Amino acid sequence: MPGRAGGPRPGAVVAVCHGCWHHVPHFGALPCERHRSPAGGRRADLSRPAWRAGHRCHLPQRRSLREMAFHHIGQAVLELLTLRSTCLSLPKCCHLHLLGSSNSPVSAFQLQEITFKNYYTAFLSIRVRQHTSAHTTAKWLTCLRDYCLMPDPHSEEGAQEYVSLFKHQMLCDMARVSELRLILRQPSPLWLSFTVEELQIYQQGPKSPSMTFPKWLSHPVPCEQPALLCESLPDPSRVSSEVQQMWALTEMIRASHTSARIGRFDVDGCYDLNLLSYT
Amino acid sequence: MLQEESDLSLIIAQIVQKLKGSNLYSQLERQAWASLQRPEIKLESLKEDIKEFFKISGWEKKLQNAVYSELSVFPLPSHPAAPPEHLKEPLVYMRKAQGSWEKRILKSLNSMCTELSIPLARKRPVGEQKELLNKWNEMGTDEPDLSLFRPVYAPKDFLEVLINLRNPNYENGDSLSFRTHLGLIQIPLKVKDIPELKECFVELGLNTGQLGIDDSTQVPPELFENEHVRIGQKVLAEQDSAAAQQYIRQGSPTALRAELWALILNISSEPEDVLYYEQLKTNVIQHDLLVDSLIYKDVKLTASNDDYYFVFEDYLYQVLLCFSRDTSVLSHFAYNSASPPKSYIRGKLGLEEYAVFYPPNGVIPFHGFSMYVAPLCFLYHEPSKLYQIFREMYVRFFFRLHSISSHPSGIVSLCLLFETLLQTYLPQLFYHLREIGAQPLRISFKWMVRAFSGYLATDQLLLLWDRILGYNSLEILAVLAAAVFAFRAVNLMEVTSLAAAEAVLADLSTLKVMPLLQIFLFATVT
Repeated sequence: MPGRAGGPRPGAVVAVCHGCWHHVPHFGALPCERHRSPAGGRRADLSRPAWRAGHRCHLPQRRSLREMAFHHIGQAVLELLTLRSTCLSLPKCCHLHLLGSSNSPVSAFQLQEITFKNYYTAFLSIRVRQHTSAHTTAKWLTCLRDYCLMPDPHSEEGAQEYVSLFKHQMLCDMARVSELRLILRQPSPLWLSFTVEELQIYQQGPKSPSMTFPKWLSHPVPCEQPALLCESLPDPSRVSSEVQQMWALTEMIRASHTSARIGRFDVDGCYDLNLLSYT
Repeated sequence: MLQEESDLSLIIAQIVQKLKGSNLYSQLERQAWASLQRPEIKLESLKEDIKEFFKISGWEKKLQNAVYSELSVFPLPSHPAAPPEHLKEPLVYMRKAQGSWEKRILKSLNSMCTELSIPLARKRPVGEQKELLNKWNEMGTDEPDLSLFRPVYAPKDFLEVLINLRNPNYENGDSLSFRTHLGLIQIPLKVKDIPELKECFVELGLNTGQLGIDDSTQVPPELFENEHVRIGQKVLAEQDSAAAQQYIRQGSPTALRAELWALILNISSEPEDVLYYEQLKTNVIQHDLLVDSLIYKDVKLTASNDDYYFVFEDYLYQVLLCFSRDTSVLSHFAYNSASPPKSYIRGKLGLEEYAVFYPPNGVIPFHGFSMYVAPLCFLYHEPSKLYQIFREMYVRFFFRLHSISSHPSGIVSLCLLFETLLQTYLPQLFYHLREIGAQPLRISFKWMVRAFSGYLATDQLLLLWDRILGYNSLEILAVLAAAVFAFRAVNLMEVTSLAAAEAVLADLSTLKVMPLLQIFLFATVT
């Protein structure tokens, strides 16, 4: 059962290649010197990260990681950190480190849901760093450990599925998250690359504003005994409850509409066609 | 937890939405109105009383069968972020492969149309309509000139497409590794192995009675057969779909088979269904499609030449011609990786209001398509019921046999399952056949694409199709193909060419299906 396959522990991230990442508003990376296409141009393959784990990148200079803040938790900005695998250069593990864009100040948020499309990742772990008021460096906490995305890492099952992870599945409290780290593992040597796509992070929506109810609604005055009606008339409370039920049923019927099929394949009796179209 | 509850309510909402447009809904509504006259229905507890009435009168059972049928056919609702193409087929490269295969078919059809200068569709003149109506029941006597027509594609063309299917993210290196595919299919789909198949097909085990084995003349009927028939009659009396599906896993008695299949597929012959069929017949008479000639050609080439099925030639025309006019088949493209071909009314190219599907049901028949219908003619003699059964069988099972998808019952998975079973449990045979250039899939592909129709004797074929319905999956076809190879392994080890291997496996009409399956799954020493 492929569990924690070999490779450095998360957190042992080493080199940050100058050319291997680039702050782009969407998920992607510019290739570095080694990753460049044979034609020589710096053509960015923005659809797929142009890194390969296990590949050593040459560092011309070490660029410090700028602290960037989350500005819009709709499409998170990702930066890639390459991982140097000390064992065979098989793609086994990679990190996605979420920081934020440069526009707004650092703010902590409460994580509600993470949605993404898998692309051949077998196991997912998530670690968060929470915002602390004091000046002590916050620790990384693991909130999801080895969540299985592909039951059999060597086969296609679950390889391109859409996944949602919710707050209640996390091991720790997700309030005041300031940094997020996704650790993707794929122990199988059969796949050329693996990642997650279309990553979306949702924070908890604002709570509905608390309303104060007027006193007569929350504390109804005890009603006086109604005057006794004539014996032959039905009980008003029973009649009102029956009428309420009937009203509810009629509302339901009115609201529902059938999705019946029409069944005609021609247009006004004419089915004289062109050739078939290819789009 | 929370997510499962919301999933369940989503499924319920989806099923309710689908059932609202159906016949059953209007019938239930009418019954509810009629029941208001009854004394036990009181106004204050209207909802509960009507529910009780439905339970007693058997309408709840019908609703249960309809819901069960929806659950069996339609896949569960997927993730809210997933686009509709994802429901058709989750793997992107397979969608692309299916798209390019469809383009090839369309090109072939278009070129046939332009070469022969025959329109894709034309309205029949009134005289021709009258003539066709008169000989509706004997269309087989017609001998149109079909020499210029050729089938759009044959199973072997489709096999070439599947062989060339590749995952761009997959390491298809030259060096042999532990996962090199030695067969023809190079896609790493998840397939079951024999222990998992044993669990899945547990009712086919050695200790369970089977029709096809335990009803042979040497076995006294008191041991199994009589009791099984009695249970079958009880299941039919209860009219419960799920129970029928469980029952039929052990085979169906010949006398009860037609009704059991109708119950499992949730087909009831209401007057509305007969009327619908008549409407389709009118559509056939009014418009003549190019696809009709393809159907004629296919029937003449396959079913008419078959010893068992040539008597049903007229039925086949009546069913298949109406099938190609049936727009309700279009709804199955929501979960089929294929898409229906589109066209525009002449002169209105590009205008969406004049966009139509061609053929109206979106399915282009290939060589051997009519063999899906032929075995059903033994069970149903009334054309509208035969038609409904075939349509339901197609949108549940047969469409998977000619479209590229990653579904466990799809043809790609079946081919891979067959090759994996053969490689794992008959390695010598597999190696030998591979060495002589006779890849086993080249021989068994045509069996699986046709669900063995036309290759097995009809009673054996119907026993096999009983199990397809009972397990709601086509995997048994791959298992049977492997079992056939295992049975003829000794002869196959002696052949030295593909042609000789084909000759050994040319005639399957003497095979008994259930003993083969049982031995391969449960009695082979591994």
